[in-house]
Amino acid sequence: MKYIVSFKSYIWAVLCMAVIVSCTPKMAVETTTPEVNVPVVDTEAWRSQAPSPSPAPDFNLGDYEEFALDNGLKVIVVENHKLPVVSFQLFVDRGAILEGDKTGLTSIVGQMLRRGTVNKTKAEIDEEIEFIAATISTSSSGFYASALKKHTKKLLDLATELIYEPSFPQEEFDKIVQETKSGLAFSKSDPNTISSNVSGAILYGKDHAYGEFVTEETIENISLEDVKEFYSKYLIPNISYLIVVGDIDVAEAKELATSYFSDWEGNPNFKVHEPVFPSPPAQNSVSIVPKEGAVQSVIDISSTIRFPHNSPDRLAASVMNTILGGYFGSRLNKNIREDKGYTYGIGSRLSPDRYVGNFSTSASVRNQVTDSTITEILKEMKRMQSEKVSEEELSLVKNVLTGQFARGLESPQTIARNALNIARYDLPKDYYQTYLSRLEKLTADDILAAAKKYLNPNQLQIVIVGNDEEISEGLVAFDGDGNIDYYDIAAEKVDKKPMMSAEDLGVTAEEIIAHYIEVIGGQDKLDNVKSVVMVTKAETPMGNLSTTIKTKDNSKVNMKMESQGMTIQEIIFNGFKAKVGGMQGNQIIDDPKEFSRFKAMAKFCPESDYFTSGEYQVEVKGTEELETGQAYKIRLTSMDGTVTTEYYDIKTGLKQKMVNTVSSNGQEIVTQQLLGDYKEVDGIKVPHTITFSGGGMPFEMVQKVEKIEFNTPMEDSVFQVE
Amino acid sequence: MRKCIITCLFACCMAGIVQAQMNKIDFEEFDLDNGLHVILHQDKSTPIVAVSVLYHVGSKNEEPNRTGFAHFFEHLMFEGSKYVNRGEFDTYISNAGGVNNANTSKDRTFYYEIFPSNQLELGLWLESERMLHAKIDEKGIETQREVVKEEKRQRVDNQPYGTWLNNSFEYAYKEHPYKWSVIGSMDDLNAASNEDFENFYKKFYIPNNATLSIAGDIDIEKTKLLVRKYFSTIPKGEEPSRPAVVEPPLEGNIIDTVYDNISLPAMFLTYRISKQTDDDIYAIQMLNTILSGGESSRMVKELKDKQQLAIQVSNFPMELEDPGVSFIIALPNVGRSLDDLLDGIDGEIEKVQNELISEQEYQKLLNNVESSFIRGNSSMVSIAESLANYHTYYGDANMINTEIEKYMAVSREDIREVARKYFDPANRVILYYLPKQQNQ
Repeated sequence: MKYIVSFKSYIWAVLCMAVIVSCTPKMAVETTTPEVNVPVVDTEAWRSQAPSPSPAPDFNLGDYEEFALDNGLKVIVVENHKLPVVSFQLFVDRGAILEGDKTGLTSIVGQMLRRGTVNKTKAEIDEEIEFIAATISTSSSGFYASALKKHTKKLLDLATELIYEPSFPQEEFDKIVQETKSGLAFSKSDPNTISSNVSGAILYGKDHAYGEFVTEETIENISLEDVKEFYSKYLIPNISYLIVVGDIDVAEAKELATSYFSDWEGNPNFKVHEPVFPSPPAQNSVSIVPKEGAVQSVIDISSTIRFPHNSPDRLAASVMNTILGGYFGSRLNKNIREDKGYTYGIGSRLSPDRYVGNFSTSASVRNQVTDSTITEILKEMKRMQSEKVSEEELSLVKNVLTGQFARGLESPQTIARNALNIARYDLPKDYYQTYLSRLEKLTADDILAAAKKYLNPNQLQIVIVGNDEEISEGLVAFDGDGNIDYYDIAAEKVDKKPMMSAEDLGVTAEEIIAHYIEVIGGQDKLDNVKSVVMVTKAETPMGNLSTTIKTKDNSKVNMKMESQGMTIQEIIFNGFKAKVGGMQGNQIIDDPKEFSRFKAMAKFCPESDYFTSGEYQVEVKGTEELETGQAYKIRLTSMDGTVTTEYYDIKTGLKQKMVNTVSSNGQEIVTQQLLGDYKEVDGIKVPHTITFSGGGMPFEMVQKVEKIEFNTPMEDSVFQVE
Repeated sequence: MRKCIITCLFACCMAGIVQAQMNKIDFEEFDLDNGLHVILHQDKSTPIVAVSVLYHVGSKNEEPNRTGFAHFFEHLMFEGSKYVNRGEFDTYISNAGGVNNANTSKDRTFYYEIFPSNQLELGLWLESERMLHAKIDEKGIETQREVVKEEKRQRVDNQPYGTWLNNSFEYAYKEHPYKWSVIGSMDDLNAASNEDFENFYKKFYIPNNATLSIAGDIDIEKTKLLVRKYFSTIPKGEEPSRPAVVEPPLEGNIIDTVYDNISLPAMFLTYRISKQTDDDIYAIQMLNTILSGGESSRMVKELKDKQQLAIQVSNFPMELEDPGVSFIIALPNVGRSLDDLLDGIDGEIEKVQNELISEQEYQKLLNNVESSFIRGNSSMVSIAESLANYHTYYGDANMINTEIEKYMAVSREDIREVARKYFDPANRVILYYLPKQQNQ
């Protein structure tokens, strides 16, 4: 059941992607064949050599001015008169914030600032901003506003109105909460989100400002009052910077800053929250977040480091990381992507931070090469620490960084960002002025020393989101004490009971299914069911969904799904022909090869035919601990390649869960159904709650059975396909 | 990544309109004897230089049975040359601290590198190798064929709605080569012989079909000498022929439905418009901005926020050398029908056809035009590209400074006029995209 939804920004991103460009990855290529056709021209011998560069140009790093207002607001002005454009950025340097059970509040505050003021609705704000072709965005730490110079006054009027007189309308708050929840539902099953959430929680701790993450519960806990409180506590001038960039001189900027910001009241007692430094583990620690049916593992390897922005060896460390995993030709990418072909891309980051810096590297790889990838990552880290980098590689990376630095200077915003960094992190005034000469002077010894200091290949947190069953064996070796920890997606540690193999069980698939049929009522009762009417309801973020399914003689089906009075999807199958319809138009399917899905829908108890229809290959895969208890695991492979894993509770014999993997256009689509709330209907146990997830559906959908009836008289016309 | 097809300048259209600048952009231009047009713009504020070559060849220059060639060539042009070994184009560039990319449209192919300015000569050498010595061999052809196929799979076939643009063009044109997509047919690429490739190179990758545009921290006189050194001995080719197909009018609505692997239905409307050098294009772009440029635009406010018919609605023109098209894209809200949404869209269009836009909207439009124009050329590579485009399509690189006047001359009546002339509800392509029905 895929029909509904999609997360709108996702859709839009996808659309835009399809529209704008299509790019290709580079491919490694061998050189062998002789050239075939070359236009004949006079060869000029000098052409055979690449020209050498002319002397390095002078870098004129734009200058900036700095001053402060009486209320403590620091102002940075970068003049750039190339274009008649100005920008004002207000940045509240409020440090880390421990949000606790209200994680997500900062993000909501940032959005709320743009949604209404005492005098204006959101629509009026949009209109006024767009009227002068300006950009104004807000966040919990201020705003960014830019426009043509001639609109400066209007621009500042609007931007300051947003932060001085926000009205925080309840209606907009509800909307944001709803959107945030939809987004969460969408990202909940995304392995990259799971990886970043759980890795952070393990590395820093769940109750650490850097380790906490947003969940539906934390969003539920946030009230409009919290937003207002946050606003009055944190939006204060004495911890803030105003960064003015563009076609403006210092005197003018001073005048504007004074008139727009000097009445803003500060709070001299404000204390910044200082997160503690969590020590890395004594030895490498492997954690797994099991993801059923996954064909790829998301690997995240990280460690905390003491690495403030003003570390004297920061540049050496950053060059070291660039060599390891900081550009396309880096060692990690060359080894793991280009040579081995394990992944589409891998990189490493070395992030400075006042309180807790970190090193991290991550990649998505096929299940089979999960352990090999980790081996290679550790190997490259150790090589950085044991071998001096060659002059050739060092000078290449210096060139790459010089080019990056030079190109960055094209934007006056870079100058502003540099100025802000100098102020915030207490860097030497000439930090960027001397960047290139310091870079030039770095030696292989400096790089080696930085690698020894900042890479901890024996004290890493190794977190893998993936198919536990297929990867865990190879991962034990990386764990210092040989004990892999297991976490759920909420970053809670879970007990992982050892699985029993099929042989250990001494139970066959036939026995498990026979037991299931017995406990739900027995084959005789099932045989008596000639027709079924079932109505289910589901509440979704996109509205309520009601589904009516009618089946007859285990061979005909009529299914209709409706939302807000509209038919979203309709399927009618009479055994010979199917009609599939929806919001626009109908499709008739009369190719028997496509009938299997309709046939399965039409059957009241498909399990009865698992071993007789010849359509499936069935095998026992052992046991597994579900939230509902220990369950037998059975794998069904159907003729068309669809793989379904089913779980039957060992105690009750009831089916608890189904995981379906289908290949479509080379992509694996995994969907999951949880079956619960079994109730007897005419002596047959039927699950009354079915929870769907996966398959690109942006949220979990809980379908509740509202009505189910057997053997209600039903005309064949119900299943008529015209 | 790199080697991109610009199938459409969507981003540009969304952001607003065109570009140029209040602060005048000075440049020098000249032709070499072999016909290569050279444009130089000096800006010493940052020590970088953008070196670009625009070849006036796109998918519209392809033979009907050899579609996808122009884009395929773009890929081949990174394979190497007589003096640049396979794969080394990129190495030379990154070793010098540079970045590079290329893209292909229906009308032209564009290559560029951005370097620290002391590497100017390296850029000229690489581009002259590309023009003079491209190495087109079996191995490269085979490799790139696979790469392009994979690109098509990734970006078109496996992308939700990925085929909408190609399908829309296919319906909007019957005769003109715009009807086929830039990425083209894989069968055509399979069928191509080495001779085909050789001919294409000879026909289009010649100095008299190219514009070399350089912007940044350069010494003009020295750069002229270097350009002559690397490019003046490249032999001139025969003037390439251009398609002279005149596309007949649509004459009625074309409606079709595509079933795709998507979860939300969508609707794609295509209207035929003038060529990009026609003055109507300015009013058309402004009309598009009125309708869906920003949160406070008409369609977004009315159809998305107020009536909640759509979760997204957007429209943009695709300006082309020959008469082009303008699109409206809309995704209905859950539970709202495509028919209602289409009625809503048509209602908005009818309004602009019947009533003049308000003075307030007109002023907002001019403000937006001005702002986009001024902000447009903020980087060296965008200046180099704009200069080359203006020269190629308008024969006047100075349009980079003067095009704003064309926008400012558009009146409220002109906007109403183009709405009537081009946005006829009885003369367009309507393409519905519906989810392939799936159940569990």
